[in-house]
Amino acid sequence: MNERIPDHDPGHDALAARLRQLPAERLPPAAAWQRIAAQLQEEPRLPAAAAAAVATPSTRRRRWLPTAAAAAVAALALFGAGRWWGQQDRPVPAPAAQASLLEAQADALADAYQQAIASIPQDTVPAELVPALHELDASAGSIRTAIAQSPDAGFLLGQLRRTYALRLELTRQGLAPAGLPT
Amino acid sequence: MLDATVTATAPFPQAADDAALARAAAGGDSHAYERIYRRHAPRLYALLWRLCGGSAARAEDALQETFIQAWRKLPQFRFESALGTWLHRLAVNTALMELRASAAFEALDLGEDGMDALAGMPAATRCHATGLDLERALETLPPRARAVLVLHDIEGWKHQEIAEELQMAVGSSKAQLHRARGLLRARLGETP
Repeated sequence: MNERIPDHDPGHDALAARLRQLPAERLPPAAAWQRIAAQLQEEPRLPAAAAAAVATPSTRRRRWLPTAAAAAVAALALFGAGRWWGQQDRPVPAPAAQASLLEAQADALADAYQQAIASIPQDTVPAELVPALHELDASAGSIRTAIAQSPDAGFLLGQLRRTYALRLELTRQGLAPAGLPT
Repeated sequence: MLDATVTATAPFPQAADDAALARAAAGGDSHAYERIYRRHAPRLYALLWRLCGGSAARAEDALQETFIQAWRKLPQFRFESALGTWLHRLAVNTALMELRASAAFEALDLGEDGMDALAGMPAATRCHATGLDLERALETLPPRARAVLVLHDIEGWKHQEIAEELQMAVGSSKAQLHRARGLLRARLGETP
């Protein structure tokens, strides 16, 4: 960048003062702690050395995007997530047992997805949806590769879950106009 | 610095209490951990809310992930900083990781086009913006610029810290802040 950026911006002082006066606290949803506590129950306290290497996925709420355009954007983002994660320093190499745990969860998720998608007739999917569905399939593959390479990246399992959910939702949406069961 | 020596003569009871709670939670005491959550979650949620552009779902996801990560990492917490500071850093890291993995951060960061997008939106009051106006204006900023502005102008981080967290050059952090301030003033209907 050629433009010199001043360290101090006198014209911003008044706005900066108002920014600093914004509320410092916001009450989280009441159920937030309950969800955290439920997750903690699944994670018994481990010895310090083992805890550093463990990264099981959190239970996140699913958010589905409703359109094919959104699906394509999400697919790009998910691919970017895997690529970005692959560039990060690995904090501590995970033991093989933990690596297989995350991959086993990804396998279980993939099995459930395959069963769900197999119950939906694919030959009537509208042509305009096909590119987005292919993007999502490619993204799912990229995320699974990233999981294999980064067994401590628990958030990738959430991304995989959302990708499969999006794929199912889009497929069902494509069938809805034809009156097929979804 | 909050080590055992400091704790014994700590002038701030909450910090000392935090250390005790953290040690209990590190040992598996979930009740102690809930007290930590009740004490720190509102502060962290306000930060996450802003970093996530006012998305309640994303902010709650990030808050949940922060406290799950903190539970896992507490046994390694060395009390070299206050618990609140440690949680704050963890929350920022979690939110930025989430944002990095989202379309909003990478694919939908509108760059200079953000100004055009903002120009098409109805301007807020041209006089003194209320807190709500400011919050809404913050939400309209491109994610990366918003993160820099929130961390620098609201949370008081230095450019060096922001640059490290966002994996950018210090100059880029300054440029993003300059850009964010300009966009914010434009959104509020103020002349730069």
